[in-house]
Amino acid sequence: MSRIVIEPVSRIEGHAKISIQLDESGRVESAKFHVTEFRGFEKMCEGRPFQEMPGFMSRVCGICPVSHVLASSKAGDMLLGVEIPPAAEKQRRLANYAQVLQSHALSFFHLSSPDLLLGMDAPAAQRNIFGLIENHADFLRRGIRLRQFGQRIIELLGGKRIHPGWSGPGGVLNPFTVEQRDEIAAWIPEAIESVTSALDRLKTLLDSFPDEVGHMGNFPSLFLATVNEEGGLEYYEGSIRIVDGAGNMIAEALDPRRFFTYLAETPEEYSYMKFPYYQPFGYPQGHYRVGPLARLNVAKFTGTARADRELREFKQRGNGAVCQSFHYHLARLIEMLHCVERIEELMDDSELLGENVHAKASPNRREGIGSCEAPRGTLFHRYCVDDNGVMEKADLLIATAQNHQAMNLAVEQTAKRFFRDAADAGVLNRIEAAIRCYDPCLSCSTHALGQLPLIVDVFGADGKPLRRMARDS
Amino acid sequence: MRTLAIAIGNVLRGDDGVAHAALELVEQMDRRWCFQLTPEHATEIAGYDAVVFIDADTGAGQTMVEPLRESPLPPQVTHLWSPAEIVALARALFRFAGRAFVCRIPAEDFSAREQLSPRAAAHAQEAARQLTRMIEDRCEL
Repeated sequence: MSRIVIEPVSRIEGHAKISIQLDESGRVESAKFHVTEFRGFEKMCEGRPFQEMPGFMSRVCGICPVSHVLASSKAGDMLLGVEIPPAAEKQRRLANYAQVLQSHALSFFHLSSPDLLLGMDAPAAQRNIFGLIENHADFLRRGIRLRQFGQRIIELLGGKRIHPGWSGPGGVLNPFTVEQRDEIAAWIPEAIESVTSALDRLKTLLDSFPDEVGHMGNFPSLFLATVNEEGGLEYYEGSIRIVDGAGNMIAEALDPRRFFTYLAETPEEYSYMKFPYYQPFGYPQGHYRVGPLARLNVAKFTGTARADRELREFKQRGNGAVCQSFHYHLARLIEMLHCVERIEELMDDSELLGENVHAKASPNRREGIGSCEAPRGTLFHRYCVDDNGVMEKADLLIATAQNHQAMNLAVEQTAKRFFRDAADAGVLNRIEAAIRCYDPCLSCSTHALGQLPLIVDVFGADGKPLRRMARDS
Repeated sequence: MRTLAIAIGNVLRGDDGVAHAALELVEQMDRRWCFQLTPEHATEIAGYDAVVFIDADTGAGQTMVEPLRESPLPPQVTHLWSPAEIVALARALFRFAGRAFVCRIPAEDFSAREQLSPRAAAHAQEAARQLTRMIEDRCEL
């Protein structure tokens, strides 16, 4: 047997490697996705006032800090025992839509579109954002502008694009202004046009990747996401629903504040990232997927006109549920369209401009739990405090970790389908691309930070390393 | 001459925030502060006649403003962006036709604190002086 290791994995958020075990005949026997960074953010929270947590938790990640701020703020709301003013909730929702928009734009346009537009086998030196300039300049320009739109909304609300700290227990810091609203509203037509044209482009491109769609992480699994009271797409407040790979309802109306009663995590020795699972099904049978694909599989509708048309078409790609990991890209673009539509709705919502944005209270509970839909999936924060509101324990269940087993399966399926020769860069890129479908944020999931390397190690039948393929950045 | 200055760094990591401190002292140009460069910075510099990127540099012996060493489109595989990559993107996609500069400020202590080391604080003053002179000289270095 031989083993191959890809390290570092490129064009993802964080440090990881992939190992591929070959059998005596040189065929892929198994493959694993290892997360090799560690940070221990939960431990650092202990002993600090819970009011600091939103600002503190935003530092978990530079890509999706808003999600951590929101989940943390909601946990703080629960500790205070308050219902926040409508204007504060609208601001938080606006920030979350902006965050999903900018994060998805980064994933699709900056990280994954070179594979889609230039081909999986294009030379690595060209298969990047600069490689798109010659023939896809308008596509790229629109992608950059879309991310800028989302980042600008976050900056207007939170004062800065990365690690905004305007939301906390009880609400948000400042009222939203007419000037801010008007600036955002002016972007909407361009954003709608850009997402729509990218969607049309991707749907055409998918026909060029039948093998990748069919064999880069195409398997049944559970899907978990938040839905609203009517079963529609929801990012901020709702209940948890789980469906299986055939679209059958497994669980619904689960309280996200009780997530620890039906979700559990287990470690594996080869990765710092844990493996969450749905408790009634046990591990590993209870592994599930979260994020754009899961949200669109779980939701009956999106609630906005353009995105609903796309969702109906999207659901035709599956049999009860869409199980192809490659369709995370399509789901991501549909979500971007939905988010722009929701942002447009909020610009016409007078409650957004309300002056009362903060409910004041002292700590009333010893335990607070907040959740929201982050770009990569459902995010949970659970805090325990003492009588003075000092943190005794923090437990973060991160979206990327919830996709851990699915990424393992996607890597293994891709390796088994495509691997012929460790020197074939296109094959290695497909293995990486299988992970990129999930847009993993390893900084979040291990609560760590760093650059973005990928290493592939090849191990022989005797367990000794045969070869290492690494990218510098 | 419309000039944009972008200070790069994390003010919670000691001298990594020295560019932020320097730019606070300069008022004659449009200013941006950021943790790191991202592709959308390419859109922001597009309308300017000149851009200057200010950053802490452990390898710099002295504070120095100099023309950016631009390169043809480089391979780009991460979400970490250099000034040269941002300028290349701006020229290729957003019709940036201006001049580009970097201001390197010596830095030595990146521990978790908001204060600059005494040496970096002095260099921040010097950087502000050089940037002000650059504006007064209409970017003729």
